[in-house]
Amino acid sequence: MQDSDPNAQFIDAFVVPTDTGSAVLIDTDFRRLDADAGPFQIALYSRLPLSMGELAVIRARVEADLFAHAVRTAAEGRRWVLALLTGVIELGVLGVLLAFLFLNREPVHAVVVWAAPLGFLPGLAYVWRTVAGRQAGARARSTLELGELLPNTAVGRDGDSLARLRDLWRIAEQPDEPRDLMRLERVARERVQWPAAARFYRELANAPSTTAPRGRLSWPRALARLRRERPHPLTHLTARSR
Amino acid sequence: MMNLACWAVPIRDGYVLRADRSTATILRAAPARSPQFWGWRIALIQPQSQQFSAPLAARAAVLALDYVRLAGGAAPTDESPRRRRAAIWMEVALGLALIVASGGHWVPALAGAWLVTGRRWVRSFLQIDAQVPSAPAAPAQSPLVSSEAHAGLAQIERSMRDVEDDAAAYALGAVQARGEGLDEAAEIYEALSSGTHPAMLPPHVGFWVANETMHDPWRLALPAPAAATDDAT
Repeated sequence: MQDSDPNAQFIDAFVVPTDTGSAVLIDTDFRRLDADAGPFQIALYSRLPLSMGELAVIRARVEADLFAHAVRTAAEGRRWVLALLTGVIELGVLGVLLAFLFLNREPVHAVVVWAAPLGFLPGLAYVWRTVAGRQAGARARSTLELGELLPNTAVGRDGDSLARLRDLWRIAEQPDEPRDLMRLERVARERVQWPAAARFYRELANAPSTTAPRGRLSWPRALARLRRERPHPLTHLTARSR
Repeated sequence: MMNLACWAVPIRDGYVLRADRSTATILRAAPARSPQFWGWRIALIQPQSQQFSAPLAARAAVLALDYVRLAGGAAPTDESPRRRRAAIWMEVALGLALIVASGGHWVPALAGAWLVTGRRWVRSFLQIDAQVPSAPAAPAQSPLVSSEAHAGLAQIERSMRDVEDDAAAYALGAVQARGEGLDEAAEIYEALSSGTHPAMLPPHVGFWVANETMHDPWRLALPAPAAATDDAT
């Protein structure tokens, strides 16, 4: 393990406890990485000393996820102005159609009024995604053009990240408490306030998403929570033995 | 350069070399990257063996990785073809329904025509859905190979050493490798524990390299006896 590169952008890798030992969690949103600012480097947060072979495997897995994500995202927002133009045309066609249907009310038109959004909304959603993802697409293209993951690994030194990891391990290692994935997820979400780790444990347990909030305005609250816990690529290596 | 990993899994008579599961993804993404990064930086993941020689194993490692490159599938895409086909069929069906229900009026017919063909034609004409151009990638530079010791692999090798029967040792290795999360090693041990000779392993499982190929006699842990002979004379 070596010191960090001064220009490097860190990809944070955490060795977190699991029910069978420990695993590596990558908590970095690849959409925010900008290769123009410098090369990428893994910053490792671990309580356990890792061998060079383990670090090499983590590096290879992160490289795979990083560039696969860049390839998937690179086409996003590439011609967003043109996409916006088609969106305007699409809205125009939909508007003229709906106006026609309302002005010429016939029984058969009632079916068309309900069916029309099914045909037009996917196109509008596509335009919305293209315009919203233009920055992420530009960064992904920059990653493909200039991005390189450095072959050495830095020691993670961010205070908040260290504190979260320490708290997670401390709670996980309490001798009188069971160390199962559901408890670790709850601890990560409620006590350590680490949404990425909570999602990681949920994925590791292969469990369905947590229940939606109940009561009034439940769906906007569920949407807000989804946005807060916005999924970003997570790499994980499964268990090292305890 | 691309950071690749290749496992050198210890067996009774040598090692089985196998590309890490990340290799296929990295190599599939390579054509979209700038050619300056097409070189391979290979980390040979091995148990902490004093005699293991990365330069001697390099050729087999490159072979194992090249097998993955040649057997690799399609590049990653953001949407599955099945889902895309389903969306297109839905658009066409709704468009045709609009045309049929238009009853001769041009407005619903126009909307139907837009759904059936107009939208996709405009997108392809403006090249909105065009993918990022990519060229076929092959490593232009000679690969850099380094040897990295893996603690889990070393532990498995030590525990297998105590078991005399080969099949039992490989079965134990498979169980331990699963526990360590080393799926590649576990698959190799499982194949060997069923009685397959290492030379007969299928290429997707790994490539066998015998001890005499991988061990460097000039890197023995103990000094050569020649020095003692010189002192006696």
